[in-house]
Amino acid sequence: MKARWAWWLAALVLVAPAAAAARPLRVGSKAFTESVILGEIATGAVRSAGVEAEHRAALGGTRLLWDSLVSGAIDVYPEYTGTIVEEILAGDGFAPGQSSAQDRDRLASALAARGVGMTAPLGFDNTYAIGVLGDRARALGVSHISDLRAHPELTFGFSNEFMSRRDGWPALRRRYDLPQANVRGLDHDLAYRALRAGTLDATDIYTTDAEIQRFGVVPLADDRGFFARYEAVVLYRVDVDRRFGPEAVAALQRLAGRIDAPTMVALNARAKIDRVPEPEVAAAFLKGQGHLSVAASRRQPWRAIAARIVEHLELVGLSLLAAILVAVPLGVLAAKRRRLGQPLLAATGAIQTIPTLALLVFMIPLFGIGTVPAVAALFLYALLPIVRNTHAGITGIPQHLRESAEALGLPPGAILRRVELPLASPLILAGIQSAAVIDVGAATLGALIGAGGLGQPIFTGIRLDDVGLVLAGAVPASLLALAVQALFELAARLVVPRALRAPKAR
Amino acid sequence: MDDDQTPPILRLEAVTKRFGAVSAVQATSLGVRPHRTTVIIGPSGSGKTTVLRLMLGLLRPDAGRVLHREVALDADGASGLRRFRAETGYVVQDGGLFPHLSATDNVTLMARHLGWTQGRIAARVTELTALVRLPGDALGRYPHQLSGGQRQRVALMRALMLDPGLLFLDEPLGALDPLVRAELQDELAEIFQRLGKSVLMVTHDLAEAAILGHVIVLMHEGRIIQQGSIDDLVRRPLSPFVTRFVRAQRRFDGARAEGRL
Repeated sequence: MKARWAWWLAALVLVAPAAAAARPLRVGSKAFTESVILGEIATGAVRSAGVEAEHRAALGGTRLLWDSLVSGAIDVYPEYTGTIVEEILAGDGFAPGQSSAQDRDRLASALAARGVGMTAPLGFDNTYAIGVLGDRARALGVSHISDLRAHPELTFGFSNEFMSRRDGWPALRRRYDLPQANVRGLDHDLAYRALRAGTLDATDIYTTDAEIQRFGVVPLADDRGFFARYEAVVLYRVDVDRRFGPEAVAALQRLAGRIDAPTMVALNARAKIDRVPEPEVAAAFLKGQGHLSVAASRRQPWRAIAARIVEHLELVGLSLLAAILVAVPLGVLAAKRRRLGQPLLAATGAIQTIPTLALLVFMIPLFGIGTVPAVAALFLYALLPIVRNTHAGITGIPQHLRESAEALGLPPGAILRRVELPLASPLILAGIQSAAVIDVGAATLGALIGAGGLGQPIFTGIRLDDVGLVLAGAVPASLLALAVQALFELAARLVVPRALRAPKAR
Repeated sequence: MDDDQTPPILRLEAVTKRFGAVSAVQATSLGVRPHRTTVIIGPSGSGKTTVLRLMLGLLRPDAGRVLHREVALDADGASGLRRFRAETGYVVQDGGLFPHLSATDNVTLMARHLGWTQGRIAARVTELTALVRLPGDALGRYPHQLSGGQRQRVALMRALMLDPGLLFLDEPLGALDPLVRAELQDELAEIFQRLGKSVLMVTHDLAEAAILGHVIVLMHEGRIIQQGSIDDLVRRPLSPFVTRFVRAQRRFDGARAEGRL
């Protein structure tokens, strides 16, 4: 029985990459609204050219999308020239700020060397700017970035990506000699609310952000010419032509020059301020552009949540099952071979210290994006509590009981099965229970690498500033954790021997 | 009393066992005679339990050999040791019963592992229940639901289940109150007599040793000081320690003899 499950699991891991060969063209997008809209538009354009395509929306940041593109987990995603120069090709001698046709050719050939093609610019430049609330800017007398030097007491909050980019905060501070020490990273979509609430004085904004008008934010003039140009383009793998026919890339190329800055701000505002789902925003745009009308599929909200719960349970169930099959034997081994035990416990403990998101990202080069890497990461997370509790359960058996079993003449396997595992079962089950609860929580982050689950509505909700959507993910996730807790209390009644359950009545 | 000169069924040959820097047993030789009860007695830390655990193969000697019918215990590896243990029964102070198994399941665990038939198991359990005088309703209970005396009776049943030739008991009555203890001492003497087992038992109580033992082995600081009958120890002590140990255990007799009671 156990062996059969192990085979299934091995088969799953082996077959998953092979199955990718026959899949539809896969478009990715970054985890912010504009990228999702562009991803939706690219998907729609490819579909209307007769190529089957799917959109893995809001996967994560630049590094994740680029790695996914190069590894073939996705085929297409929207990007910005400044990001390509500063982040992706960093160190290849591309000076920021240039965007002549010549420079674009050099950029294109550098990308081609990596097996990636680039469309002509889509028509707008979404560069970074430093934004301050209009009233606040007037009160401080600030209109240029260099004016900020006179106000070292200001609080800055930047998107996590901007904090760490080569052309982000550290370089900006050096260029302008900015004195502010109170600087922190946060989600881009939360920054506008923090500005309005007064907890932040300045943040990084994109020049096509829908909120600029809505919140009355003023972009400060870049008087030292620091920020590069960020012209939107679409990147695609050069093997798309071979795998999906020339129509796909041709359809993407036709988007060039079709989206100017006011159009993009309007599309962003439709999605973020009017709360129109991105697929509909994109479909309306494409229809206006004379593409075949592409029906934006819209699922019933409750059916959608049910599907997310199923995905979530799949992530937790598969990873937990694999973890039990691996961790219980490991725990037994750690208890039996002391020299192996300490390194084993230390290793599983070390995995636990890796932040969940980082662990998920580490899985991408190995397993691509989607369910498999998420399950792998959750599996690794679930190991520690189970290994540790199995080890503690077995080593905690009193010596006279172990020797009584030995003295009966039982072989080691029978001692393990009939004496040690039953005596350790309450602790082992408690370990599995905490692993399950950890996994239910951590699985929400799976949405960031395209694994779906209840994190999907949570992150979409944060992106769109839609509390209802956040709750639609968060509430079922909490209930699920409670349900798992209850389930294990029930399981304890079945697995743990009767005499070990009640407190000893002696 | 001990005029039986048949060779020992199990013996230590110049065995030394150290725990870290402490020598628990030093160059000790000792035999268990067939169909006789050998009782090791001595103060705490004298090495008596270590001798018993060495003879069961639960500990390996640092020097010397443990011989079963003149063959080294570990001569045939782990499986040989397991065959030896199937021919032995073992009872520890608080029974060593598995808390997750009922009395019956404790008793029949090894027989079930060996694939005995239901009928054979049931017949043997009935026989043993009568032998150790266990109330029938105790069989379905878990160890924590049994009295101390009942636990020891169940442990004895478990040890006797496969009808082993050798029986090891480590302070089997040590945790019982005096009345139950006295009752079980008499019953054990009768059972050993009736079954004719070769028994090795550890106790710290001289009266218990006198009631149960054909041979009494007095240990002190890892060495055997004297072995023989209770009469030998009382009348012909080989060292002042023997006299002191016997006196300390017979203060009631001494007090009566001096007219203090």
